[in-house]
Amino acid sequence: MWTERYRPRRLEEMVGNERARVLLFDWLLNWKRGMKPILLVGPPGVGKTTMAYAAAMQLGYEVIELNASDFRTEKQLSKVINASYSSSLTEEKRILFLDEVDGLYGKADYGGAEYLTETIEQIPLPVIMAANDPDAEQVKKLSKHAKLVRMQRVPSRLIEMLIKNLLAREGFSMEGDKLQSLVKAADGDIRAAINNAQLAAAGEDQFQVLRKTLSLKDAISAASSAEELQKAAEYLRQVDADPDQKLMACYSSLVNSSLDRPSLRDSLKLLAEASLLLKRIRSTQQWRQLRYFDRMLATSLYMKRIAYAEEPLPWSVRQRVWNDSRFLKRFCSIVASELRTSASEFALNNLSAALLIISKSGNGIESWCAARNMLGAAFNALDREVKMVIPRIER
Amino acid sequence: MSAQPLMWVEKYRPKSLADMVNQKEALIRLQALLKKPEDIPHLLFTGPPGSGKTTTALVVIKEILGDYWKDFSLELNASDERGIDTIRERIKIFASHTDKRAGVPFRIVLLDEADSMTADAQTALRRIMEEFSSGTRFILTANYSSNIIEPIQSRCAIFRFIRFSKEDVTNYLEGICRKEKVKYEKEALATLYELSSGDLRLAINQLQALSSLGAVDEQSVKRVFATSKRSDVKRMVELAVKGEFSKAREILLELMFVYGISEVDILKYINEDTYSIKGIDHANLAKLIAEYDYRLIEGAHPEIQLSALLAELAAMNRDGQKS
Repeated sequence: MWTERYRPRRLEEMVGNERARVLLFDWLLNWKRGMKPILLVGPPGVGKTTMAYAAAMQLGYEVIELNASDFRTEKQLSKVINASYSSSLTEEKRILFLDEVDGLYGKADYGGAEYLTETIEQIPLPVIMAANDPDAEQVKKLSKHAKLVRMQRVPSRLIEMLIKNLLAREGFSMEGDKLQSLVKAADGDIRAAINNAQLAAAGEDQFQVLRKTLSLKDAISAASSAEELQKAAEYLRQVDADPDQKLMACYSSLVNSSLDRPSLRDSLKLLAEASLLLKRIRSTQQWRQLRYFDRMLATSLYMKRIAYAEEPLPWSVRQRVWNDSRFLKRFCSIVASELRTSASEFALNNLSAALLIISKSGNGIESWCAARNMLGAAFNALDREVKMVIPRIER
Repeated sequence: MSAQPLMWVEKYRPKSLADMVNQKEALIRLQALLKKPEDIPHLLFTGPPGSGKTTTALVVIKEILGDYWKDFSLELNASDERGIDTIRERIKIFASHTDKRAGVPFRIVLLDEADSMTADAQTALRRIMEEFSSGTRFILTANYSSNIIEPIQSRCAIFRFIRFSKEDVTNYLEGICRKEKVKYEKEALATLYELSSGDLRLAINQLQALSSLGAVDEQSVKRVFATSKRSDVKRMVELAVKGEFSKAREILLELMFVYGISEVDILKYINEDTYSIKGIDHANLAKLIAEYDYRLIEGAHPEIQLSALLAELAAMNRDGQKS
């Protein structure tokens, strides 16, 4: 494979992203324990992995690579991370390279994402992480604990020069306009360009648009106005996002649309089924079934002509989630535990009564909060709730 | 004696089997067991919310352990951290104390609402029960025994608690009113019973809320129930079947994300509240709700599931009509 044969071994052999290369080299050269890890964020094929390996090799490090998304639970992740440095009997210097950290899920039952954010700064090795999606929740969280290094798509003229040179070394030449369409199809992705060049040299005339990525936003609106179902599915496949993100994007776009009720029902029904399928795929590890998952998402959008919406919660609810929810939940969990019931059952049936009782008791909500170190915002949230409830009972 | 608890539910929680309200059948069997406390097996108490399961468990613990009940029992609430590793850790630490006291046959772990644990967690729990059974007994409570895996059921003596009768509840409430010197209308207490569907905890709590505002009359009973999130579920269902999907969904999201109410609880009440809907295909509706419940058990995305169910309700009503 040409992509392997021509993978740069030294940073100065790479093209594009010069500033990032310098930054990474200096960081590793001066690395001391306690320094923040590096988080490389950029589209596929711009050289994130290559850069990590080249820097390591030049400075005499061995690379331990983990694809973070293979280890989704805290247990698995902590095991491999600990093993990567605790077993180091030899004197070799090592770096830990964690690829695809945006593929980690933030769900509580997996725990991998939280584990990584909490422990990343304690790992006693230089750590380099890589991710594609700067907007992924996990990337945003990790960037608080890391030095964020952005990588850009590589400019066309640099790719053009590189490919020309590479073809010449392999004993080929290519006409100008053909070369240009090859470079254009790659869209800043060096790996795609090299792959296409190898195909072209083998006589393949049509350049596949390899891994051309669409943003979720573009994919949703393209899929929902595609003329054929297959096209719609194609657009969704081109998104570089994990299945959960795609599902949520379809869901939030649909619930924010103004579709008629039967169409909305049909689409949401499909998404609900897709969500069940996804859960099953995960627990059985039957990843091949993802193709049906994609197809269900495509069908839910097909011919709906809707725009992308990021946020599934209406504004009013979102505001209450920000302002009140954590205090109300805390209140529920404390009093529920005193009354020996679950927080959820308590919130459903007993919350308003309990707020009323406490607010009318000798000491009131304020002193209840004070006794539990919950003054300020917490008191305000509970007080708002009381003021919503009382007028509805008193006449 | 420490200060009286603020909440009447705690203040009037029975301290001995003799103070208990009804549940005669279960209590008679329990009393028989308590004659030889050292032979008591693990216990499983099942029954609807507010039917006295936890109260009975606490009373049993005190009867067996006497003055040492605080040191020799561990209570794990449903609102505590329920991850199986946490449970194992806490039980391990609790069970590893080996100090013995005369008259204390074993340590007791009370695990409230064991049916809210997943099947996997229950399987692990079963191993924990086995591992520590030499010096520790478990008392589990659950709403339905069917939600408890069979290997656990077969290791426990099961006691079924039934919904309290109207008479039991109104008598109990009257007793509290007299002690607290609260003025009440008899019909108001009957309404309290109806609206709380026999859940004594809920009835006592609502009674206390009402008394803190003054009189306990029928109108105010209805009003205080109308402010509960339980009645928001009803409102949500009504909006959905009227075709008001967005408004219904807004209530759903508020219940889930502002108040932290579990999707399983919400679905349970959606089921109850759809019984009385007129002009709807009930055969299909039942299948539909069952299917969504199944998906929640399977671990599918709860918000998407319940939103889709509301969308189905919203479109269901319209199907038969001209849209």
